[in-house]
Amino acid sequence: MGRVLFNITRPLSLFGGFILCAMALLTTASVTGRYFFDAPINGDFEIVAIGTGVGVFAFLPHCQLMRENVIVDFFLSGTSSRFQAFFDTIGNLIYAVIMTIMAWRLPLGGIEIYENGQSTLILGIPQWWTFPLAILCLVILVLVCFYTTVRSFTEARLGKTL
Amino acid sequence: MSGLEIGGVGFAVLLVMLAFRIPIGVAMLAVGIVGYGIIAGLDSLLSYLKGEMYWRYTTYDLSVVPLFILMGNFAAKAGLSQALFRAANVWLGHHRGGIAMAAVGGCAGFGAIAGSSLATAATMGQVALPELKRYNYSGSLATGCLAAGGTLGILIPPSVVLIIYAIIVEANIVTLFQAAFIPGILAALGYILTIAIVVRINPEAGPAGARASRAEKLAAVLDIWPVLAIFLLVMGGIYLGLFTPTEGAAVGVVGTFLIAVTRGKMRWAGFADAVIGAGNTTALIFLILLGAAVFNAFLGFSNLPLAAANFFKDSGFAPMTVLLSMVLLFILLGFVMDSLSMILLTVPIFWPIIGALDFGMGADDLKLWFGIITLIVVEIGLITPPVGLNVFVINSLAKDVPMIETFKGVLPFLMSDGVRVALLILFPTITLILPHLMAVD
Repeated sequence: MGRVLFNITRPLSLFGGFILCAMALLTTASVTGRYFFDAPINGDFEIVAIGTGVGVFAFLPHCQLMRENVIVDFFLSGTSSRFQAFFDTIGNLIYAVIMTIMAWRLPLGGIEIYENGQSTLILGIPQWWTFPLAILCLVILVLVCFYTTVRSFTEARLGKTL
Repeated sequence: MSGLEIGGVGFAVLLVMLAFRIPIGVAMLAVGIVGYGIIAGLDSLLSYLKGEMYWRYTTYDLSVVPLFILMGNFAAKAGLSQALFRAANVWLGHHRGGIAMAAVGGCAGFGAIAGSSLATAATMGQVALPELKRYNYSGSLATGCLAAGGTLGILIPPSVVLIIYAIIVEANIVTLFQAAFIPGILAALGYILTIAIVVRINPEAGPAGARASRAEKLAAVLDIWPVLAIFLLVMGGIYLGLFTPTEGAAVGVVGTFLIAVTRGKMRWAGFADAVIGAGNTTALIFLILLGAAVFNAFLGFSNLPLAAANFFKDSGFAPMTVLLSMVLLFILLGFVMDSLSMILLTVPIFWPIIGALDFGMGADDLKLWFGIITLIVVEIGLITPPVGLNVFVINSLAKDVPMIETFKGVLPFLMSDGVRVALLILFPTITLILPHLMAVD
């Protein structure tokens, strides 16, 4: 299961990285255009804002799967790994529950925006476009969160790191 | 329960959750959501959650964060840290303690194009540690100077933590970067001076290295032209107002990428490594950002920040006493927390308090001054025991040096930090002069 998720989250993270690179290229092109050819790319910052959003959603699952999220491990650092894994289970479970709520609310937010036709100011990009992608990432994140919950629970039971 | 009490309880619950290894962003989200629901009602909460995550992430202001992270990762892959260290080493290495000074110099150079301390410490550690060992530097000085030098990654702009601070207090990122510049240079000079004093007391800690020929010096300096070019273009452009910070970071990403490719350091595996690393760092930062946003929305409803500000305003405490207490609290928190979380947790409450007190300067200057002091003090947490992250990163690279030696080695640098913080508090001009000189009006 971990292997399967890894094969989903890593490419997803790479995809986010490509978005980031594309944003950098676009902005560089716009700046170059502005200073050298008097032809900036209008509204580039709207694309960059949307790209940032998509990129971050794409990055979240891999970070959780690879245990990269920041914790304060000072107070329990002297305790057994089994004890620590127990609290990690709780942390992962809370994360899973919160992201499940988010994955339930986000589509509703997307539908609202679709219905009132909200779009960006200059380029008129419909704001709902990136919602499906964000929702997909969020669903994957929820799966990862539940997987990591089970993973740390198993670690607490066996008393070793998987 | 009044809003204030709920806010207080929320804060206490948050701290307990943090102590029990709940990820910082997750704990803030959990307390924020529950507290928001209690004070504002379930309907209001559910409607708030519909858009919060999407709009929090889809903003131009924050786009600068992942871009600077990616730029730093590309720069590390390009081997620029190696070039920087070598250039500093041919000029300084033959002095007593010179190789350690060169490591600090290299960190400062890398800090000028990277926005994170851990990345700076890690990349410079890989390059400088073998050299320090070859010349029989003591383990404590070798690892201590690199752990401390790593903090220059954040102190010298660009700086991810400073960007987050700017967003919280609604300050201008560019003027904050300007304000951080002189204190950052002072930090590097202070560390070099510290090394000079350490080797004077204990000459065996840092023997002199080999003297480089003039040709070697020239070649090494020429080798760092990409760093200079990127720095001048990106930070120069941002300082002078030619670019927004996001534009500068974007140009930096493209620039460091091209340099890495032309140096043959960027094959597919290296690229994937850099990008996924940047993705993970971005994700962990943005999870904390989301948590902080929800938590602070809740705190705002509870009126706690306003009440705290009014309390200190009417209490008759001298402003300096309040500031020094905060500095002390930052140092204490720094023993257990990372700098970004500390800023996100405390500044939304501390800034209104500081802003309400009279320090004899305008609100804009106060934001800069308080920001730089905060930045330096929270960074001290990176090199203090028991969880100084930089210390762990460097120590894991130097397998033969016991952890206790590294912490001992960091001690003199902590004193240098203390002196610098005192100077910056006593003389706000050090921080404010550059933004004032560069102000366009």
